[in-house]
Amino acid sequence: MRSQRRCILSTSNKHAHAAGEVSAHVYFIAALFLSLFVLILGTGVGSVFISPADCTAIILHKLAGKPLPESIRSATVGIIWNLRLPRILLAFLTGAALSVSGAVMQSVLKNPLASSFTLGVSSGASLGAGLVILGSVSLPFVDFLTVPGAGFVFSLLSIILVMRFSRAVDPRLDNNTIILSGMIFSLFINAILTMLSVLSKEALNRLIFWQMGSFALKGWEPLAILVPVTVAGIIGVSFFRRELDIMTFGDDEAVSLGVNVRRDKRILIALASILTGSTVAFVGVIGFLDLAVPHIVRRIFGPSHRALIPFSVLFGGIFMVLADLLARTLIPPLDLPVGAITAILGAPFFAWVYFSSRRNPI
Amino acid sequence: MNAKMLIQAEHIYAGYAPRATDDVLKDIGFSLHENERLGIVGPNGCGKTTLLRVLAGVLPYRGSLMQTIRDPASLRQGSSVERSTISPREAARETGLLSQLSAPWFSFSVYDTVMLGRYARQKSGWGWSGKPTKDDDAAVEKAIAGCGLTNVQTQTLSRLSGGQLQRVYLARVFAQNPTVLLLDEPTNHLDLRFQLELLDQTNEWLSRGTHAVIGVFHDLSLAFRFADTVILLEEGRIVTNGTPETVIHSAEINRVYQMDVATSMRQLLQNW
Repeated sequence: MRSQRRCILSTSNKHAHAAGEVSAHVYFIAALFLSLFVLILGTGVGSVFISPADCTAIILHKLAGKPLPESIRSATVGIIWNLRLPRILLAFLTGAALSVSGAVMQSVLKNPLASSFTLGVSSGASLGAGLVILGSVSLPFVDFLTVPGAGFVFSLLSIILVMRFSRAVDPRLDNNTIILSGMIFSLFINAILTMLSVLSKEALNRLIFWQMGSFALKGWEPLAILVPVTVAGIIGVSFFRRELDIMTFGDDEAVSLGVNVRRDKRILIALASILTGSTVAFVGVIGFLDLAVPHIVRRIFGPSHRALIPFSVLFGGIFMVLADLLARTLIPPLDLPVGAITAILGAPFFAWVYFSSRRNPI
Repeated sequence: MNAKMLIQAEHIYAGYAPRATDDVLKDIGFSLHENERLGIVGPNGCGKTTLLRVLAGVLPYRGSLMQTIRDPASLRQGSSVERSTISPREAARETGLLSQLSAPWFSFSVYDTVMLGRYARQKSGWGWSGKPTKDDDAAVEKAIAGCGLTNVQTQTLSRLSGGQLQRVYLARVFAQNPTVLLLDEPTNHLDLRFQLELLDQTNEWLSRGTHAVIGVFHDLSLAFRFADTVILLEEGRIVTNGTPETVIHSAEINRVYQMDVATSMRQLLQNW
């Protein structure tokens, strides 16, 4: 009985053609359809309700040049195509990227509470954003890239610094050294940011607003950059799924089983940081999902990365679209910070998942 | 000796700190041959586990550690190569480590855990492809059966006892099927019956091919029962080596353990 609750679905290699494997595929297809449903739901629901049929018609019209029914007004087309659809897709992409990044960090660092946020990626991004907001810097021609660009560059700079520092103090690159270095750097960078933000009240407000995280009014431009980066990052991570499985048993075991731990650990941390850094740079700091989604997926499908990565993509995307839907519909005229929604909803849910399995490791 | 050499170590130094004065292992030299069971004994902190970690490629070393490549798939088969120049994947076909028992973080099934032992013999692949081959499945099933785990093979690791868990890791290293098996205090946390079973299973594996075993033992009686050759370590140096009989009766063993080992063993066991 308890074994069934611990891992509802077996994705075991045992008898690859038998029940376990087939049902994992079936569940993946089901999750794909659920994603599609949530995407259409997110597009239709809002201050103005637009029926799923109209949503689909508008999207197909834009993509395939299908003629629109007379009943659809041009304002509705504008809401769907210019406001909601890019917003929903951005939310889905962010949820997917953050969840995969969290799964990788937890496995590579063998710590259920590790994430790229604990390694200083989001602090770095905030500092980069803060510097350009404070200095009123703007890039010529591509002004919309100023803040995200600085955020991304600084998030990568901070993870490079953290890894360099860890390697200097501990050549074997022990997981605890990496996590501790990341936390020290995060605190340090946050302190610098606090000092800087005192300088300008107007900049402080903009920075706080940016940090809270939002998918509103970003348009299609971020997607043009985030789609290739995220897809490449997730494919790159999938390449290492067996190494990830093995690394959860510890570095010594992984080496003796034949994994090039020093190289693969660095590649995986870099990929996870790029996934987080690029999304954080565009949408701000949205926490919690990267921590919770991988744990929930492990509870349902087991810890094997063959299932963990693809299901983290879909579950992360679905959760983020729903969180964003709540953020803009809960208190109608207001657009609540989506990061607060993910934490308010996620924390109790995660606590329930975690404590109900406390007797066993996750 | 007509048996073929597998490992030849000369003047090995290794440690955890960058300074040479902090080395844990000092001037280690020994050789390992086909079908040999080498036992490493010594008091706490003498460097037994450190030596095993060097041989497993986990810890860097200075000196010469020549490993004979036996993997038929390797281009360098039959040649003797410096350990530090072998890639992890290639090395994992020559040496496999059974570490001291530690609890797993994430709860894989027994079958999947043993399958991870096949990593070094599988091609790299990604996505939903790269499924285990029939050879992999056969090796895993054989290892699971050999370690008496068939009835728990679909269970998750978190539901196993310490003894079962240790046997899962043993099955994983059998599935890996390296030339040289490295055992780090393999009988810790095991009941007496499982201790002897583990050694029996290891002997059975040894008899199925041209292998060798290096085992670190806390329990001298088990070491002398299991090993053909014994190395006695003291503060990172080899004090004496030879057959179990010569080491048991050497003057060094009493000095290293700071007691009359044979007399205390007899006293401990006289209640039986």
